[in-house]
Amino acid sequence: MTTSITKQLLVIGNGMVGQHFIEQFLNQTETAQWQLTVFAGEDRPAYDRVHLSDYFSDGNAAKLQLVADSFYAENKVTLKLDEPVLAIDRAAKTVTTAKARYCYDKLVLATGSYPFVPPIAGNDNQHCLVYRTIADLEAIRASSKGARTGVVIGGGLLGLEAANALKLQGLEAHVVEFAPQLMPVQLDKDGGELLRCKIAQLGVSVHTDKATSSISAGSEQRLQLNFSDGTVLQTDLIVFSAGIRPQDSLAKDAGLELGPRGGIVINNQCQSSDADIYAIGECALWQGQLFGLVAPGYQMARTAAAVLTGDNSQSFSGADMSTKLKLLGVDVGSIGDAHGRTPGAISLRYRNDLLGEYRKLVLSADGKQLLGAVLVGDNSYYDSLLQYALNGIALPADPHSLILPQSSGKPLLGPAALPATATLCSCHNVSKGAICAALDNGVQDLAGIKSCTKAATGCGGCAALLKSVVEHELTARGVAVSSDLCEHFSYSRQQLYHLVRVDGLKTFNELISRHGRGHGCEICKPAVASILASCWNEPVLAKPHVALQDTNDTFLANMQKNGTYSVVPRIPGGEITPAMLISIGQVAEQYQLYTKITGGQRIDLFGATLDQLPLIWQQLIDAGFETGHAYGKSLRTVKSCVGSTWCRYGVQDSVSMAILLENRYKGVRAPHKIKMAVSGCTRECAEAQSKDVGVIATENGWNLYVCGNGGMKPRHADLFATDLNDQQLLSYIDRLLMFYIKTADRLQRTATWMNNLEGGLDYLREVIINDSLGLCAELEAQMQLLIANYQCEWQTVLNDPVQRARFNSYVNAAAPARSDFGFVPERGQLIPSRQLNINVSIESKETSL
Amino acid sequence: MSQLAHALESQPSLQQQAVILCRQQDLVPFSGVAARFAEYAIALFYLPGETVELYGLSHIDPVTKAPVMAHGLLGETKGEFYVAAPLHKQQYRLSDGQCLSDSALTLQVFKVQLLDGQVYLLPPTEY
Repeated sequence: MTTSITKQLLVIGNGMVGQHFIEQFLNQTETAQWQLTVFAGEDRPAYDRVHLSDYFSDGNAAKLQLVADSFYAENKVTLKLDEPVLAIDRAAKTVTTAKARYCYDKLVLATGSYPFVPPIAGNDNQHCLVYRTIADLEAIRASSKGARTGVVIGGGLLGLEAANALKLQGLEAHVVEFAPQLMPVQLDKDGGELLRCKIAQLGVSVHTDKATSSISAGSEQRLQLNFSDGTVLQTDLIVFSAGIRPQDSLAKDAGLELGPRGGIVINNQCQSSDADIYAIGECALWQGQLFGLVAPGYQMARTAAAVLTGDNSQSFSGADMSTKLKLLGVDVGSIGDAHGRTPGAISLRYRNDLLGEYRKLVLSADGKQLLGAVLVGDNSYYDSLLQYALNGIALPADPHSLILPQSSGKPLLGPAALPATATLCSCHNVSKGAICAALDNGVQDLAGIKSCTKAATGCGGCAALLKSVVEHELTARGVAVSSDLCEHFSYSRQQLYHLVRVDGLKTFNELISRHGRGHGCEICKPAVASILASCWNEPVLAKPHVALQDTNDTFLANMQKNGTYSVVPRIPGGEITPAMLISIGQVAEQYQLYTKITGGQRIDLFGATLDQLPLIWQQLIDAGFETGHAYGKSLRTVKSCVGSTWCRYGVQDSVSMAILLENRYKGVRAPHKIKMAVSGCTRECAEAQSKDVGVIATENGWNLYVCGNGGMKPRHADLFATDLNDQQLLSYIDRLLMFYIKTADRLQRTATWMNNLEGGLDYLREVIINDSLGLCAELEAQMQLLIANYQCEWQTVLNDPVQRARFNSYVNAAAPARSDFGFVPERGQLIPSRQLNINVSIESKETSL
Repeated sequence: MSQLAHALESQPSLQQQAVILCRQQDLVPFSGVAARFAEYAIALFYLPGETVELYGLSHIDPVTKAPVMAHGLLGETKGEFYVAAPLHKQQYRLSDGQCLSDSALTLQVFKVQLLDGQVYLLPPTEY
């Protein structure tokens, strides 16, 4: 008989921690001799209490369940639902339920906790409820029928969750808190205050500093809360969420050691005062401490499961109580010593009432270690701060940079400083350690890391950090991280730029035959074309360059999804005469072009066929327009406000300056597109701080901002120099642009370029303002050459029959009708039809001679 | 000599079937132009000096169905030439039209040949 050697393991409680224990236990190797029986007080298997309020948003209790019903049978675990244990007999080693008595060899108590209901007269009313189980939620739902208002007593974490649950029931929700602020355990005064404002904005009324002395019948509503200060509040139902207490009565009756205020005392192996009885989760008291979070409970479950199966290497050594959560949609984070109770602790705070953000760092007396932090409004800072606090990483010299808005461009933790436990990708929960392990297992590049760990494949927000970590780790492993442009050039863009300039090379063929190999590709050809243009500014469609250009540069227009092109004439500074505006309108009307105003204060005309482009441009040039370079990696627009010419606030003529800048830099090819703006006063209506080059007027001249951008990852530009006169402004921008062109990577915008410069903004100031490299005269001279060699590329094309012939759709057939491209009307204009209806065969055949 | 050129010279019947698409001077070296034949739009890629100097592939981007392939950039990897689709940058091998990043995508290949300053096409119906 095998039963003779089978040992009985009983688990009391099937909450989240009890369930985790079962799973951890089943994962152990030495389990064959154990028969596992689990007693649940509730009539359903373990469910997710953390997301309890989801039950109200979707009404689906099954979705909360942690494992399928079949889990227990499949793993030979006996689950006794709705069979609470009534007593433990330690001498006989049995437990008793209403149905039977069961023997145990080892017993695990995972009894959890119960909601504390303060002893207030009237708290036994049928509409006074608690918030912990699905049954509680069902009671709240029943009570909500015909109710208008609900009050939560307790403004802690669970109380705010409960308030959310009431809101989801369509009730007007109130939160009553005894302390002067919300979440007094996790937040400081400022954080609590801001949370209160944000929650109030969401329609939850918050009453702090209120002690409830009694609950009586209401006149307008079912109940009335009577506060100790004499005020009252009427409501239809009350949910108590004034803290939890350990569920330790079974243990107490069995004579196990309890803490002075409850809780089953356990040692580092999670054993109670009886070595055969373990306690885990919220019912357990470790070194005088209770743990009301699920993560420490899971750690105890892992420890107990290991110890029970003879693995004594595991022990519970306390847990970090830092939390990050979204309460009623508001980000709240609390790390370590949030209140600064460590002797000598100092704090740094960032409070922005405008944005509704608050962040506090608690530092050691010497300012070198992060002891704790409070976050309200934006939890994106949490992961990095937690790494500092948990791993005792030395803080940067300016720790405030960790909580200032990230647009200030300060790097967070660098790849080398991150500990292995650092979470890089929060979507897929990938740590730096997992990345390193993958690299150790033979993954060799970023693409491989992404496919094997899923890192950076969720929201993608961690892509830059992931790349720097992978490159850093590869370098550390002695793998050369190639900065080669592509397989045809073993040089970076910067090096190629240098070679072109030093050797005076004028064509791609010269460069590849002297410094490269093979025939080039779609990476190196446009990059070299851009370098050649940046150095010599020959027309991009001149014969040696034409086959190098990206499609848009080849046809000096932007290809759209249906194969037609858009046309953007330059409108410097966004200033345009009515006559010019009319001529654009006439062209658009004649060719039935879809017309839209762009974000850069100009006009985009969509839907031109290749054959129409020269015709359209002939008319635009005759009307006085030039190409707008919307297709090029070059200056796009210089946006402006009307400035002092019209505006009562303007202090300088921003339009004139914008036109001057746009005409100065138009056509200059760069590693990526460049956008600029000029604002006529500090109100900044031109949004100059979101541009690569931003100019803002002051009483005394111009402030220059650099390296901002909008787009996928917006970044505010940094203030570079103040109160410049026109000449200083131009020479700084000349130098800055040329230095960018000289040193940036392919397709690298100014913001990334500056972030990657060793020394960042300060270094850039040294080079551009103080001429620390002795380069400024050369940079200005190079810019002068580009400006002097400017020509309108469209004018050049129209003057050259060979170049113009490139714009025939077919070399042997008439131009296709525009209708061939498939257009449908929308709001009075033509847009591409969803299904392309092109009058040519698109079928693909397998063929061979 | 390519197979088509050989076929054209050795089989008079084929020579009759082949059609002149355009002149050699209509081609743009190391780039593409588009030509029409019946219902077909054909991208002609011209690589003067290479073993195979002329390739003909469908001008229609298989992903967007837009007639744009001739306007893609030509590239070379490990000695093989390809065209990068202008809209979404998939690479298609010139020799057989196979997409290098997605095995499900191909460009139809047309038999074209340079002869006496003319571009010849063997019409697809004759294959």
